[in-house]
This record gives sequence, C-alpha cells and structure tokens, in this order.
Amino acid sequence: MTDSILVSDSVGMRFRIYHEKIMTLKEAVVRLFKRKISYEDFWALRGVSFSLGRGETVGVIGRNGSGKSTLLRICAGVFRPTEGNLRTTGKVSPLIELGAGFDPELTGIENIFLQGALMGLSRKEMKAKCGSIVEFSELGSFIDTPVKNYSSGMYVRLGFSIAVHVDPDVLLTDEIIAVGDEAFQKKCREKIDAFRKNGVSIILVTHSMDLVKAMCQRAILLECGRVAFEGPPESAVEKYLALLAGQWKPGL
Amino acid sequence: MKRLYLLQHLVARDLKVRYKNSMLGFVWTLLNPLLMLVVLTMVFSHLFKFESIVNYPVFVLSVLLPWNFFSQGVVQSTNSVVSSGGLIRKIYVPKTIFPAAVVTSGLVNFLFALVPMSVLFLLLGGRATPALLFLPVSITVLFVFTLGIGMTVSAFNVLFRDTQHITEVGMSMLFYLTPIVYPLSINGKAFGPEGLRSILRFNPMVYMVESFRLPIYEGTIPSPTHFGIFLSCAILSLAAGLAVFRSLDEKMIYRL
Repeated sequence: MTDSILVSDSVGMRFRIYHEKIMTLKEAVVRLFKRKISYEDFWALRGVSFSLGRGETVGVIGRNGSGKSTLLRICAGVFRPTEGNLRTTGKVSPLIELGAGFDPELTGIENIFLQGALMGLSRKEMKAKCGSIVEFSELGSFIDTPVKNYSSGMYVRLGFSIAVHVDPDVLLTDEIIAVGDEAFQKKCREKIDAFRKNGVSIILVTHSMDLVKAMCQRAILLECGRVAFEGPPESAVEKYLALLAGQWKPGL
Repeated sequence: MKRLYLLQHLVARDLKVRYKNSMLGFVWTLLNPLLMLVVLTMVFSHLFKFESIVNYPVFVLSVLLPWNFFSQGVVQSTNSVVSSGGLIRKIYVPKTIFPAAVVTSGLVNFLFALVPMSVLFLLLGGRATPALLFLPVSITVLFVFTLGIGMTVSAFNVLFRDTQHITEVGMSMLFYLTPIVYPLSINGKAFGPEGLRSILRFNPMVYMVESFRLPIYEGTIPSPTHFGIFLSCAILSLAAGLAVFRSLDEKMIYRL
C-alpha cells in the first residue's frame, strides 16, 4: 500500500446551533443577565476515520446534510475538528468554490496572482504558471477585463484553471466537474485524469454515481455524519441507493 | 515569506480598487486632506480665535495626516475580516492578514500624501528643521499602534457587528478629544475646560500628536518620557491585537 497523504483519525465536528443568534453586543448583555443562552449541539461529523493514499481517488457520497461538505472543509483547513485530528502532508488545493478570492474590480490576470497568493504560492511559481493558466481558461483577450464583466461560465473557468495549476498533492472537489460547456468539461475530466496518473490524490464529493464508479478506487458513504460504509465504489453506490430507497439501514 | 507576498497582493488590490472608478483617482489621496485642512482652518481659526497660535494651518497640518491614517486605518480594519468572510469560509487564510493589509495600504497612501503635503507645508511658511528626521520613527510607532487597534476591533467585529458603529462614532469623538485643532496650552496656560483636560490626561493620542507636532511645527523632538509612553501604547496595542486573535481565531469561523 502506498503511504498515506491524508489521515483522518476519528474526526468529529460539533456546531452549536443557537436558538437565537447573538450578533450584537446588546443581545449578548441582555442574555448574560437572563442567563438564558440556549443552544443545541449538532454533530455534523462524528468518529470519521479514513486515510487517503498517494495517487488514490476516493469518492465521498451521501445524502444532503450527511456531512460531505463539512468533511471537505476540514480537509481544506477551514474548520478545525472539534475532536480527533486530521493530518495532511503536502499541498491541499480545494476546488470547493471556484474563484472564492476573486475581486470583481480586478482583471483576470490580476486575480490569477491574487488567488495564487491566497493559495500560498510564491511570486516565482505564479509567474511560471501564469501563461498556462490563461491558456487553459480559454479566456483570450478577456483576461485583461475586470472579472465583474465575466459571464458565470468564464468566472468558474478561470477559477478552475487556477485551482488545477497550483500543483496540488491533494485535490478536493465538490461537484465541480460540471464546469462550463461540454468541451470545457471534457478538458476538466482530462486534466483530472492526468492528475491521477501523476500521483495526485483526489477526494471527490459528488452525487453522480457514474462518476464515482468511473473514477474512484474507493468510496465512503456518509450518513448523519458517520461513515456508514467504506469500500469498493460499486458496493458503496449499491448501499447508497438502498439507503435512499429505505431498504438498508446502517448500524451506526 | 509567503504571507508577506500575500500581504503585498492584498495591499496592491486595495490601492487599485480604492480609486478605480473615480475620475481623479489617486489625486484624492492628496485632495482629501487638503480640503479637510481648508475646512478645519476656516472653522476653527474663526470660531476659537487662536490668535496666539502662529501659522494655524501648519499647526493643524502637522497632525492631520497622521490622524487620518490612524482613524481611517481603524475604521476600515473593523470590517476587514467580516467582509472577507466568504473567502475565509472557503479557503484557509490567516485572518490577521486582512487588518494588516488595510493598515499597510493606509500607510502607503499616507507616505504618498506626505510629498505634496511637504510642498504645502513650505508654501504655508513652515520651516524645515533637523527635527523632521525624527518623523520616520514617529510614523513607525504610529503604524504599530494603528495595526494593533485595527486587529483588535476587526476581531471583535466578527463577534459583535456593533463594533463597526462604535468605532465610527468613537473616531469622531476621539477627534475632538485629541488636541488636533486646538493646543494643549496657550502661552503656558492650559487650554480648555477642566473636564477636557482630565480626559486628555488619559488619552494616548496626546502623545501621538506630540510626536508629530513637535518635529513639524515646533522643530523639536518629543521628550523621552512622552515618546516612551506613545511607544509603550503601540506595543501594548499590538500585543492586545495578537492576543485577541489568538483567543478568538477559532471561534470566528462560526460567526462569519
């Protein structure tokens, strides 16, 4: 077995759901005197353990609200798990929300550098990659236009192009293969296939069962924040469909 | 190192975007304090009849730019983390970078505005003295002070959005509680009512004013004690900012 590049060790993520959201100082003071800060604990994830080998593609499936996106955000380092821990070695590139760091007033090329800096790349690296990012995005002369004038397709195309050019060791994707038109989608698929060949590990969150079966070596089925099943993609998909149909209940 | 590179980008973005859709663009950096100076001079030199203050415009000018840098830095920092919330929720970015970028771009603006302002200073009859060489020190300390306060308020604003309104009102209050348009004393006699003076005793901005007004207007440098107080305040404020971020950093994400 190859060495693990990402290890999740019984990760749990707790959110406090406040019944009344305290957003102002006045409310906080009032509550303090009333001694009535009521909240519920909600575990979005509990006891999630898995590892991701170098060059492995793992699918994460599950119903809406089962904790898939929370898991990705923990992998991306946005959330720190409430319990357990998650270790990564290498560069994690989240393809979660494309173009998250774009400034609408800046041009495409300026945003490439800004986004690169946000993702932790140095100037030298960015200078080297800039050309191929522009080329991959197929934006042509629009690259010197402020991105506020972009169509939504152009926007995500640029975002995708940057994200795949940061030379990640782990790529986190959340339903992003459906970017742009048919031709661009094909290009994205090819790029991701190339990544897999080059030993990049991928965590693929998706509702497309075909994609899971086609791309993943392994799949994890999440249900209510827990790992309901982990194993071959075909079996995971089967379990998931059974779960949806109400024919199978995971023994959690 | 990479953080520094990111900071540089955020600052450049700030400067580019700030004046992008205005006709006069960067000129506003210079025009803004100039117009403010005209207004303040017209209002206060007539209202208070500071006849014994030689060259009132230079008196005000000496503190105006540092004050603007400080107050704008703090007010704009307040919202900096909150307004980047969308980004922070998606990719991991060290959050202190946002107030730091705001205050740094404020510093760049400040330094640019210094050039035409020194021309104005000479035109108004100000004298260039060796004491002006003290200004880089004052500016550095003011930068640290502003950064610390900016970090603190930006963190609090994530938890309580009131902070934004409090800093805005607080800054206009502080403007009058700081000897910017009036002196601490006239001809050796303390200026203003007793109430104001007892507040001024506890206002660290008094020492900030001294660190700029003495070199620019009087041609002397501040006493080590007074400058020491200013420096201590700056270090304390930066320590407070770092401490607040350290203790609130992980809570912030749930409030953005």
